Amino acid sequence: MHDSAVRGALVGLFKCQVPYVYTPVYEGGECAAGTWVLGETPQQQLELVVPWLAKERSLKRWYLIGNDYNWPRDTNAHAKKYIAASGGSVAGEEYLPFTVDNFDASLAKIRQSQADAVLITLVGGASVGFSRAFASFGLADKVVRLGTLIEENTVAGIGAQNTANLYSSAGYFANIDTPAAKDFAARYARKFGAQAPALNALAQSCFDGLLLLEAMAAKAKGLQVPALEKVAEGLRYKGPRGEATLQARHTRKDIFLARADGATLKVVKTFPGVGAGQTCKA
Amino acid sequence: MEGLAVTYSLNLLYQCALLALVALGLAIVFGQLGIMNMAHGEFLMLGAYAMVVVQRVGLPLWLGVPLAALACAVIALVVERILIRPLAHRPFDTLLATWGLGILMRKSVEAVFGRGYQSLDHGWTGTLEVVGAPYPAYRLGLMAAVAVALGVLAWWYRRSPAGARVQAMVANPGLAEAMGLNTRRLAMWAFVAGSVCAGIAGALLAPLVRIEPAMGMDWLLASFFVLVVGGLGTLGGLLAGAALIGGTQVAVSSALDATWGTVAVLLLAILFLWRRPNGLVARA
Repeated sequence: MHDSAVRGALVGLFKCQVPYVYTPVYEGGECAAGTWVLGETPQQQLELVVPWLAKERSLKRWYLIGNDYNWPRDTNAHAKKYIAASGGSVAGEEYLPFTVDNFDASLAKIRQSQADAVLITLVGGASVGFSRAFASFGLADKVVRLGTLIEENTVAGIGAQNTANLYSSAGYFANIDTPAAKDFAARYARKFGAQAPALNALAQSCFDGLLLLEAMAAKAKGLQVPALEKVAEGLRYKGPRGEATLQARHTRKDIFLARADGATLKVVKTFPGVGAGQTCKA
Repeated sequence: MEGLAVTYSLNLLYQCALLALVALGLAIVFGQLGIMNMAHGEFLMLGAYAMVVVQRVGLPLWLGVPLAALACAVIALVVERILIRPLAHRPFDTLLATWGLGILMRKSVEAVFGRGYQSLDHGWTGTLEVVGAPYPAYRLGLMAAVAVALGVLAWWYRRSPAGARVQAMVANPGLAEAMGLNTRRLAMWAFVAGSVCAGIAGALLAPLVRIEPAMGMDWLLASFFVLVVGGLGTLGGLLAGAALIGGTQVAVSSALDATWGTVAVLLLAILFLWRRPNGLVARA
């Protein structure tokens, strides 16, 4: 698995000679021939989640905070539309370098802004550090956090004590309550043992990538890109996440909103068949 | 608005205390012995993992602090004997060797605990009202502890015979040895003390920061900047460096944003290396 910069380089390298499935959460916009994208786009993660959560928790003022690169910025560009549509407003927007691990200034601004929700697009260690400091300032009880890349490993780092009112939106969580997901998790535990790294959306997406390729190859009866291109649009495949449909090189699929309960993420709402909001022209 | 000013002031104090705490170990090893210990951050990381171990075993969390000190002391003793001492007076080789040591420590922890984030569950999560602004109680306690510890250390360094011996060794090693001081032994204990300081700092910080094998790097850089700006060899320099670096970062981050805060700290470090390489407080 790799990031969008690497994907850009690989698309140029593969030149439609090799089928390419890109699986992690990403900002959207990939339409190259021979390339299929499984990852959740900002539209998928937020278009339905923001209004639902805003209504559920009476959220009006949102503070957007992320690391300083294109994924958080592109995600927030979409988020602003959904926040406005839900009747809310943006109380602040901030992007931090990857190396920042002191969030005091941001937390003071969040408190000052009187935001009742924070949309987090910080990644990895920054997300962990931010949420720990957020809770230590007593903000967790008052302000709802929603993240689009807060997976099981991040929550483990944030720690059970610091996860009050923390939500995460993704296409997969380790404890999705469907037979397919449970079966997958059980098989994973059997194969790699109880000490295996926690399942999360990023890691599981690799497995889904292979499922998609298998489904395409079975229908196209081969792995040649032109043949795959012919069968791709509208193709359906099933995996631990549920059923997904290829649409404009992306997938229409179920999106889950999970709420942290201690150090685990529990799905509280499922949004079935959410489109990626991409319009790749043939 | 008043509450906000209080919060900003406390953030500033906290950042200074944090930097002083983290840089203290490096100040001893680099400032007194002239050893650029690139594994400083990894000793800090070990200290944090000592807390994780204590939690896993189910012992009271505060026991992680003595465990961190003990583990770092043992490792530092071995490292001093097989790495630092043979490379004495070869600063560049020492830098490379401790860099390698840091990688070794990082990867060893990775092999045992994995690369994932660890977290501590502790009871010190409350906030205290300081002039109407809620502030994490643990941080306030940490700030007080750092102030007391630095005060005691300054007193010890000036007044105690051991402090005098260290000063003599730093000022003129040859003369100190001629006077009958065992400088090799002194240097060994100074290295151990510096590493133990780093370990304790890591243990104390563990409830506040992300814990992962690579966490040391950020702290090494922060410590280095503090020493560059503050100057080597004195506690005054350490405090001045922590105040200036911490102050700049907090002020600029609060006024503009964290990106500019980082830029300002980097510019400051470059400016000092260029125009004032001895730092704010030069050794007498």
